Amino acid sequence: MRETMTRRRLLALAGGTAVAAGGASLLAACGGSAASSGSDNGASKVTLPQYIRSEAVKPDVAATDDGAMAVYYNYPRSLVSAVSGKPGEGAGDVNIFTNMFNPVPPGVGSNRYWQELNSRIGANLKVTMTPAGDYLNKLSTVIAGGDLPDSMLISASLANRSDILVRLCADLTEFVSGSAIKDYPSLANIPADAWASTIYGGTIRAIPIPRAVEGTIMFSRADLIRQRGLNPNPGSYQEFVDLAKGLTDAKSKRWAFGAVKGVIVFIGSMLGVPNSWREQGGKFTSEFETPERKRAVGLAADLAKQGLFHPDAMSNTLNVRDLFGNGTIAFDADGYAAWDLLANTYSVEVGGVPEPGFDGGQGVHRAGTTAFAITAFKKADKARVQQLLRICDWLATPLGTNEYMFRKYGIEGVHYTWQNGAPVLTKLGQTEVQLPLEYVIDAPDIIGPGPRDRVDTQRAYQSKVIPKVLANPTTGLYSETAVNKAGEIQKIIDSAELDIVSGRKPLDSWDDAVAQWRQAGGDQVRAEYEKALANRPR
Amino acid sequence: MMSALDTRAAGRRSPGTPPATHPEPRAARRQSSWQRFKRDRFLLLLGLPGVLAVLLFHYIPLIGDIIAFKDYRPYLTIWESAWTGLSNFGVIFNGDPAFLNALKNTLIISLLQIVLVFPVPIGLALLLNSLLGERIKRFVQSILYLPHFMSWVIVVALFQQMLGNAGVYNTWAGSHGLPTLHIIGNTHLFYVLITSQVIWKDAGWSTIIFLAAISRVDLELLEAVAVDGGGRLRQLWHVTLPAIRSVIVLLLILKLGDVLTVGFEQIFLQQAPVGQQASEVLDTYVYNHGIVDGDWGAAAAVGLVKGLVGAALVLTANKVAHLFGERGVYASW
Amino acid sequence: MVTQALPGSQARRMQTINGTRPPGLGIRGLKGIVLLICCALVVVPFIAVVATSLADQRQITEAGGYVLWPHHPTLAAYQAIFRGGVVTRALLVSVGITAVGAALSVTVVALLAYSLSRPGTWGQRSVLMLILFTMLFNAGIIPNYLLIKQLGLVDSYWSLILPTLVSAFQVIIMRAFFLEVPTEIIDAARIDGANELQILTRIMLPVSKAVIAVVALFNAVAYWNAFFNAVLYINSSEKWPLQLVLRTYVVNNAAVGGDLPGEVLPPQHSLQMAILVVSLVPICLVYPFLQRHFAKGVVVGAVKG
Repeated sequence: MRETMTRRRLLALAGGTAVAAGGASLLAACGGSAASSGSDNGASKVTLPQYIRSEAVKPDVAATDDGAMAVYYNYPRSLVSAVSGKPGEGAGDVNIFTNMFNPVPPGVGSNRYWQELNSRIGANLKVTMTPAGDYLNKLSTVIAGGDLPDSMLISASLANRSDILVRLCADLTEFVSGSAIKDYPSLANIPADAWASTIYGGTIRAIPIPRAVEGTIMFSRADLIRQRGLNPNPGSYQEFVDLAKGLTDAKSKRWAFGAVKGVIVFIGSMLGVPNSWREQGGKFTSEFETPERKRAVGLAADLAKQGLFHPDAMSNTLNVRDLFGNGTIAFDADGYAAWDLLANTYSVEVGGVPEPGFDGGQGVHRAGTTAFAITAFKKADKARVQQLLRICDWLATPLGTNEYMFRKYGIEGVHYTWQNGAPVLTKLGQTEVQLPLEYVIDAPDIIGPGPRDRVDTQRAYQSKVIPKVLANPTTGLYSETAVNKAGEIQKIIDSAELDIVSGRKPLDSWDDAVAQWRQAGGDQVRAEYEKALANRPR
Repeated sequence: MMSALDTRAAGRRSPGTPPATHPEPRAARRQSSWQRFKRDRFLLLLGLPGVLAVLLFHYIPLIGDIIAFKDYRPYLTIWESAWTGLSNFGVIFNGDPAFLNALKNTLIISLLQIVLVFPVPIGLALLLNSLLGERIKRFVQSILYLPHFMSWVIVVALFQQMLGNAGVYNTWAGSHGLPTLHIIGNTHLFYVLITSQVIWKDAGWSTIIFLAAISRVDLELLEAVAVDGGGRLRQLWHVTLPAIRSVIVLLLILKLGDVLTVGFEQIFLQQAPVGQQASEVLDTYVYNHGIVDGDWGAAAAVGLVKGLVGAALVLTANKVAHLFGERGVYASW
Repeated sequence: MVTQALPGSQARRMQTINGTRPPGLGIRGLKGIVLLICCALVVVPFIAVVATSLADQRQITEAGGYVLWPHHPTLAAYQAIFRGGVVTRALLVSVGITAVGAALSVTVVALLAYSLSRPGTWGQRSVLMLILFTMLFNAGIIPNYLLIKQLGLVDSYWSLILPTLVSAFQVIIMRAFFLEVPTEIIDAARIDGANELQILTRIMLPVSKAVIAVVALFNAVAYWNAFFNAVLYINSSEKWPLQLVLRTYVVNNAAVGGDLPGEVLPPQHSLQMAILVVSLVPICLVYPFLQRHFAKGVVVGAVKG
């Protein structure tokens, strides 16, 4: 097996017991068990929670073990109750810290949705919301202050994450490991690879907010492509360039691309660039050290020279989505969740371009991060932790349940009404149902429900990229430096890419940047990953 | 005539020149400290709430700056964290060429701000002051101060939209056969861009303090100049400017304390189009080298060094001001 | 306007000063042009802000951001932000904090500046240094948070007021203005038996209206614009000031944090601009009242005249 690790294999090993598959040490470790690698080097084993797909509602196309999302064409109208009784009965005040991306909703005193939520859960949820850009500061000060909330979102970029989780947060292993997760059926519905990011010091310290393997998609304006009679599914790099050229017309303010990063990564995937790292015989090679990655940067610079980028693309301050929506740019590399947003907001036809091989055939598709972030609990007695887990189980209920419909849309007739078979938020719903519960815990993402042709397109795209998904081999391995220095070393690469693509520096300056990257922490990250990998039980 | 005027102005001890030594302080010096304390107790009592607030809300947290010498981890207390000596200062004193480049950019931008930005509100205030119509004056001033209230995120986006390569101006100029301007993303114009944005955003707002200073101009003096047949320029030169000179000097000295700090958010938001070589300043360097990742100890270390440099500059500038007969921030009595 | 408010003798004086040699047409024209350009540079982008807040989503999308004139003006953005009462509530919170904070600040700063403005008082130089240094050295956010927590001020409005009560810059500026008040007047008052508080309130403050107005304005604006302390110290979103609510509209959409693929951020350009306009209104309302004290000639002339 090469570095292509599919989710199917990964999950097959995560069935509950730590299966050691001979030879496939990485996969076994990834799926079945993981060793601590941060503060202590104990090779203790932990069994990941069993993945038990929710059967609440039968999807039109089921989720698959290699990471395809379930597909729903319509909203189920006969809802089931996933939880009987009130999950937080007797829990009293529950302090929850999380971040938010939306405008702040009214406080609990004047928010009927929030009040109803509390009464359905049977506890007083005190949600402290912080704008995402400020959350890390908030979390750090609260940790320093020593009085933790009951539940807190642990950002992926929180420094010293391992120490903080192990020293300050509740150990969830006995409650969720293996078949124990059955007590929390909706948490069991979260795929095992998402749980890999919750293991610290050989214990499960948090619950993951799952994200689908599809990760970033190169969205295209399918309508514009059709109008110009171009080929929407380029079969090679050259065909992709032809498509981009066909969509560019500087005179009428139309360009192919609006941002640099996504294009480099897309070209890189045609060339088979590893997803962050490549592992071979216990040794890691960074994607930045591969000649293919350098070549991708050079090719992006060529495209820039040919005028395929928006003239202000290097500024990083363009509102790329708006430009995509109004047709100024034709491609937008964005998270998979943006598909519906782009299509709905701008009423345009959105397509996804799967990566072709550079000279034809298949490229690779980078697996997205398996979890947005993780949610940890303050150390507390067993009963309290179980209570919090029950509340989170309620908050993770999937589509088709009463709980899900309430969580996402509020009370029928008050916060939403049914229109053409879909729930539509009322004005009250638009303001009140903004509580960022999806950043406490959420069910795995799904495709749809939505307009049939769009769901079909999304489904077709998914079926094309899932077979060529390329996983990040460090998933589930912990490197302190990778977390603590992430921003710093990433910045070195980002600046080098912009310098080269904008033509300020020659392509050969890439080598200096990579050397600088290695020195600033890249080599240390590599060493820590290699050590973590070696310490894994086989 | 000229000299008569000067004598007159000097004799009146126009605002701006230090007060003639008052007999009181000299007498005060002869009193013992305790006597003076007793004499001034009521005055001191008035200042007490402010001093207490400063001690409580500035100096007590400042004790926390000892994490500059520690490997501070938020899950430990400040006292529990391990001492690391001066290693946190490595982020500054490592001789990294990128750091030196950032220092260079910082000093150039700071210098530009002192030379180009600082005088603008003074000129604007004088210009406003010379307007005859009170209504127009107020109206214009009310307009000019508005940009101060826009956050940098919005200011940067506005500049982008107006002056970007595909912005309003260039699109318009392009379609009318006029020369287009390559401003955003032009490394050579980065300093100019940053400086003009600061002027745009804050010049109007900064006139306020100078207008307040001008409001103290002695009418008798202006009148005297006018009676002597002096025109408006003479009034400006001999009366108005001297009157606000002490405020100008004071603000300039205080500005020096900030020499190593140039608008972080403004520059951070605009680094991408021109690259780090042209745009990295001290604060962004520090941010990009670890502080972004929660390295609190290093952040404190950088703050301390910047404070020390600022303090040295302010105290020196103050001394220099004394040499030129200005009062500065505090007098050396 | 203000000329009328002045005592008759001063009005005449202003006439002498202004009237002796009216500036030439060329100079006036030049001034006019300079100010016109300055105003245009400010007004055009500002019109774009207001226009965008009134524009519909379609036009904004077509323009790719700001629009210069709304084709189909709509108040939808304003209705949207005032729906649910969050912004209204935050406005009240901000107004309260600004009013209380600015009033307290001006009082404390004026008292401190005055006590430091009399020559030769005990410990003056040390206190001045103490204050000056707070401009140069700042504690990190964690020690500040620990203090607020120790004082039991977490989630209290006071945590947004007290830490920024005394600004060194303001103390130094106000002291500089106080120092310029002729000593003779104060000495005369002292000989008449006035105590320090009386000297401050009856002599210093009336002749220093300009600087008091400036410091009041600085404080009001600082309290009005502050959001970061609220991020750290306030847990209940009902207690958020307007600027923090505004931040959930603006910054989350900006490129600051940036790298979060897949997190869905709704486009809401008109909302951002609407809330920016809303946040400017109170400042625009208060400003004229303070501005009148910057008018020329009122202060020193009033004392000496």
